[in-house]
Amino acid sequence: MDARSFRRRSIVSFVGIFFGQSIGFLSYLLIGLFRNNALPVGWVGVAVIWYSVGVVVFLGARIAIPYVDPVILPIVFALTGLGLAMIHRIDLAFPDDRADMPSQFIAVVVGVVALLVIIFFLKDPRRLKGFPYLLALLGCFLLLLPLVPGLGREINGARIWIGLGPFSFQPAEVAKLVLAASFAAYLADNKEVLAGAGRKVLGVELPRLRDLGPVALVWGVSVLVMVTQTDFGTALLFFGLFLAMVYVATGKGSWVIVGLGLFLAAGTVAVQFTSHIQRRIDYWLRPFDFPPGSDPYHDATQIIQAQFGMSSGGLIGTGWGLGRPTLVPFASSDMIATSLAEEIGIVGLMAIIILYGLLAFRGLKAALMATEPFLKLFGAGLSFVFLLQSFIVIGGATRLLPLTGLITPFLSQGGSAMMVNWMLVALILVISHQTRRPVIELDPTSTAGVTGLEDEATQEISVKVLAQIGSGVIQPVQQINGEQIRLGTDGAPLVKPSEVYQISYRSPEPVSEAAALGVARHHDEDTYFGRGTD
Amino acid sequence: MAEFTVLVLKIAFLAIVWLFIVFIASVVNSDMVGRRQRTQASVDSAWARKRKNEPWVLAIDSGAHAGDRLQLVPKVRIGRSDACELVLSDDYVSSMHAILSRQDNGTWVIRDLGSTNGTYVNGNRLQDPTIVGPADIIRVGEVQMRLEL
Repeated sequence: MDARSFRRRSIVSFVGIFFGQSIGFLSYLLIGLFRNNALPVGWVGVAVIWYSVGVVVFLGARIAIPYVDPVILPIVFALTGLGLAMIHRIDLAFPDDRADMPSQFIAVVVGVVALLVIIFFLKDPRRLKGFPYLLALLGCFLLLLPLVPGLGREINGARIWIGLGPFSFQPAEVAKLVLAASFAAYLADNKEVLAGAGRKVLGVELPRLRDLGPVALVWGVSVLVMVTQTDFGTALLFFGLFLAMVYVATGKGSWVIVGLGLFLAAGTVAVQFTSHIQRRIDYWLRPFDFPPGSDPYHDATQIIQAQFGMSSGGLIGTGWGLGRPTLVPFASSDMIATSLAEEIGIVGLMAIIILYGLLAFRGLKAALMATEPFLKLFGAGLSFVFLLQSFIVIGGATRLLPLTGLITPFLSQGGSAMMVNWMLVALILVISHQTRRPVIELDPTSTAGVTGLEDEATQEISVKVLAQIGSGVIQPVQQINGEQIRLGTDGAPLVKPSEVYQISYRSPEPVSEAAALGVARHHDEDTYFGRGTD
Repeated sequence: MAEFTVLVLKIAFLAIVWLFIVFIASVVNSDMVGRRQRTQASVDSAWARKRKNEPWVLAIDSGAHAGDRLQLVPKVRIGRSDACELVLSDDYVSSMHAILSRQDNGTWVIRDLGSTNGTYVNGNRLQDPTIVGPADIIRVGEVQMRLEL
């Protein structure tokens, strides 16, 4: 009966964050060297500021969530650094004193503060579990907020911004977080219903028609976003996120098939009604039929120039600062992937894609190890956000998919996205800490350890133990037939359900593999994700 | 800057980026399995009981959980409630139905906890706590189970 736990990998974590940050910093130095034959002016100050952000995040994580996954933060810092360097490089290409990099850096700092707030004050994300419908409403409200006259702003054909004085903000970014929590809370409660089998058509077991309600609802909102805001990318992101989470919760591929069919149908219809999406598809399929014209923002210039940029970059790129990424409209936001591909080559872009893959993989791994259905689904959903978003946006920039105006996570210029992505990472970090933390022993001879759950100091225990008991109530003393049965009165401790659960899918012993105890079986049914071990 | 120097620096930079990925991969690799942690419960492990020739497995023969072989813990509460060690989703099982506990001498005693449908050992409804061994068939609701060595 072993439980698995992980070490606090502080040194690895620290070295990793430093290493990740150095990639961005080296890029910054190379830009100066390649463009001006000299290190940038004030590079020491930049180094101090940049690395101190890493140190602060490292210390915060070390104190608040010591068992955190050691590679997530380094990856995030590497991506953020690359993005900042590219934005800085594009700043330099403009003759006026364009300073997008400092403002982006401020967004990073705000994101880091948000991350610290979450890891210190929201150590138990299950607090979000209580109100799935409220969160869903809030998410839809945020999604549709840009439609409000006077508040919403249409920029470059997509109405996804709201204006607050001089600032503009993309509420859909916050909606990602809110809706992921809402889907997770809803599915954690209702997955058995959705897992019910329906009729078989062509060998595919279709879901029951009456369970389609929630799917239809999310689908409807996605279509609404697609048509009213002409934002295909956001619609695809949210619907894809929902489908992925339904699949994780139920293990039924038929949901994905049905959902994708519905989405394609909706897309086909939407194309008929909105010229914007139709144009995007035309530019994707045959960009050279739309030669660069007077208005570079409304023809295929973006795609064509991005293609030329990548081809001039070739295998190892032109070198930092030596390409012409600014020929592409939105070189530092939508098209940052191709800007990077031009200057650090396909070898560099592949590295970036692998970093996204590793980031999502570590998030999914944390979700896989979580025993509580909500945390499992929430973690998986957050990871899928990164996976889907980087796929949609890099796919769009490299002409694998129609181009959509999504943000490349951590790379693209865009304050609201940067902030929210750091918050998503913070939640993944918290989940990874919760799942990697050793299970804390309760003292078998007394009930103190159990009642102590109410104490703030031992609050974290409850996540693991309460989660297993399911009903959410630990009763230290059970009154049965007028006789008190204590936990472990005979000196031999009762096996905590959390341990039982862990054995049930991790121990190599054949007996326990058949689900060590009834509790384990009960939770196996709860957690389809846990079927395969990692 | 000389073209050659640029080329060298470019390649060096990409090498560092990929070195970072190798670093991440090696951390992931060393992190794959976590560390086995001996828990208090493992001290009283199944293997110890197996050596002493005591029952250590509860085999379920019929009902919804038929075929499961569950590792025994010193006190197994059986019932529908989530607080039980053995949760049976059987309509005829009370929320706290019975308790199977190990005595200090290594024998196992089953006791009914005032269940609606009763607990049966070899077909006889249980009145008092009874010692059970591998030869006895325990029935709770529609679920039949027995101890195994």
